Amino acid sequence: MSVDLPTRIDELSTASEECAYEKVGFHQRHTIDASVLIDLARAFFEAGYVLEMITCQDLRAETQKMLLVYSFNRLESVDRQLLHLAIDPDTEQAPTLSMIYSGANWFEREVYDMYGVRFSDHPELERILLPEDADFFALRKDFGRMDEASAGGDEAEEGDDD
Amino acid sequence: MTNPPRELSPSTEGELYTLNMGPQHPSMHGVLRLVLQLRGEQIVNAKPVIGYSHRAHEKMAENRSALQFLPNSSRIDYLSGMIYNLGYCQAVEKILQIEVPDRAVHIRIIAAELNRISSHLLWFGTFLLDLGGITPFLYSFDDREQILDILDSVTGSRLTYCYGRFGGVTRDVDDEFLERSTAFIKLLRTRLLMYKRLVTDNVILRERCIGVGVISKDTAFRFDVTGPSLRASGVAYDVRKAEPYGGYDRFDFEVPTEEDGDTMSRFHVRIREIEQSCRLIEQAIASMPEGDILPKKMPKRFQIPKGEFYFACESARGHFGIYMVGDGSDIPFKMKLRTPSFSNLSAMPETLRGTMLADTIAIVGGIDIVMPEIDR
Amino acid sequence: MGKVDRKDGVVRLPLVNPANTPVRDPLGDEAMVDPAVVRLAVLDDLLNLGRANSLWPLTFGLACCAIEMMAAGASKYDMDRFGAGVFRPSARQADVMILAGTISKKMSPVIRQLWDQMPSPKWAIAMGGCTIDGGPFKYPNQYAIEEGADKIVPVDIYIPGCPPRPEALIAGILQLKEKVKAGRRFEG
Repeated sequence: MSVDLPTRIDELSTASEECAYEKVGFHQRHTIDASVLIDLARAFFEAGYVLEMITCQDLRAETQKMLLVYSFNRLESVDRQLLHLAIDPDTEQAPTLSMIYSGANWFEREVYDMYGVRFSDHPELERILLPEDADFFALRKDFGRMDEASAGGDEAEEGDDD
Repeated sequence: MTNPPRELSPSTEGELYTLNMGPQHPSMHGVLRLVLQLRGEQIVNAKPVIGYSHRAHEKMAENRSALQFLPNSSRIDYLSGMIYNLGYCQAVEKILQIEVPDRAVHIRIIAAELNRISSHLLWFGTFLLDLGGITPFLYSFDDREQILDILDSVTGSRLTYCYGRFGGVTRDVDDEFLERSTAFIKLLRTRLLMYKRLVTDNVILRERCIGVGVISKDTAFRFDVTGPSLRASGVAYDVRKAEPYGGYDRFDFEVPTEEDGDTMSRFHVRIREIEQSCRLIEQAIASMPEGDILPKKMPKRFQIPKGEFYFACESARGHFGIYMVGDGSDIPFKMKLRTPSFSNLSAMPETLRGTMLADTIAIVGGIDIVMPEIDR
Repeated sequence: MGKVDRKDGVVRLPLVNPANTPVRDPLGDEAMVDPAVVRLAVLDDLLNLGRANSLWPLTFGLACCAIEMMAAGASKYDMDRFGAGVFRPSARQADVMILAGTISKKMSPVIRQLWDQMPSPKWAIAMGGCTIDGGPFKYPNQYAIEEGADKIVPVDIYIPGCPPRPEALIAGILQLKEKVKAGRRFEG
């Protein structure tokens, strides 16, 4: 390990924010670009952090982007760091972390399954929870909202045009 | 004594063929499907296929208010439903800054630890059933039924508890509950001795478990394996210690670890965890304060403020995380449930590679998965 | 020899039906009954009695309810008392499918295949709210689950609950036994 982690994060991230752990449950939040994700993940890996989860927020209504959220944590003493990476699901792909953190493989498949965000160089980017022939991305905000159900209720099963 | 991993010479002769196990298979613990590529009886490649129990919990969370989602929480992982239910309550309490009265903290710890014991007992029974022993299953279910009776008397349900409320619990416990819990722990200690004689020292079990399905520290780290499976690989990580929640820092308990990372180590870790849970319950009963079970001042509506929040707790299977994003309304904008079995199972392809087909049952059974928790 | 009731073509043994209440064919097709069937009815009754008291459920858990199904088979509730404790791992050996848990859209073709693999005569028990109508997971626009087991297999007994207690499952098994004894079943 040549450079320590905080320095490396400062170098790579676009913006960083200290957060009150007692209130929100994580220590720092960093906004990054897709180009530095792999370098930063490698820095976390070398500093002994685990990748707890990858998830996504559908912010297309406000920013036309999907916001990928990565959560890293240290097992010895808690230090939870969130990474935010905004991506346009129609034109861009996020780099995969499955070469560094093997667990990222399934997390990324789940994000693809639920939000339709693609990951470049992913070894097996296919549906994980939904059936293989599903033609929708279930957790997108424009799909299957409860309040948009027809008056009939029970029969309103058809998916969106996603 | 250390258990060296079993050496297997990788076979290169013979044709590669594919074997499908599940989703309906007696040892697949629900609806897991494993597509195995085999050469002879040796596994060359294993691919778990999941999603057969996907119930759209996360979509429901985005469509309901935080309070309406409460009954869902114990159905995510029905074996440690109480821990999930209380964990979800604690997440919302953390977000809304609700103080939990002391008595409710103690009751919660008793309920959660009883639930953890019942989950481990069920695993103990079914795991040994998978390995071909039906007697321990009958004994462990006998013990488990007693826990269910105790929890039933105060919660009204046997499995999918909805005991927690934001700020406390639904019903106060009476002295009879505490006496029954104390008596049960006394009984369980004698039963654990019997299990040791009946099961743990059994040569057939040892032959089937020692050195089988080794998850190394490095593998566990890369996949973020947590819970007993991680502690069996020699890492003393327990969310209850690492980031104490719900009053666990007031009590004295140990985090049992084993060094070898094989199925036998996972077996030992769970049995030792039962003992630690017993200790926690005893302490909580001994120091049970009088008082309210719900805070005096409560917000009228549970509005999730703008921003993102993370809450972690330790379920019977590992690190259960709730990541919630609020937009100021009653309904969360986003809720991600980070479930331990999902990560634990994702390490299976690597663990199964190179092992024998017959060991698959012991290895998959040994990590203790609950499918609806993986599929959510 | 029991009394032959020509109306519904079933021979009644006092042991089987002491009240001698009329039992209707579920298909309601009285034209099916011919003298040859009447002669076989004693054997049919005996067979049905045998079937009713040795139900072999399929080892098949879907979700939460499966744990209560296991509990019903374990030491405290002991479904063996009613002859229904022989859980078979293979569909080819089973004659009762206990649908215990939520049926996802991904799982429903598998369930249909298992049902088709089971040899006739066979019966299905829908255990828990999810298999009745989707239960707690039913909401408008639900994309993931099949709302009710009866969309996939013909269900004989419905057991409400989330999950039903083992006593409720046993009550369901006892109800099914009555149905089997009376020779009622869906074909196919």
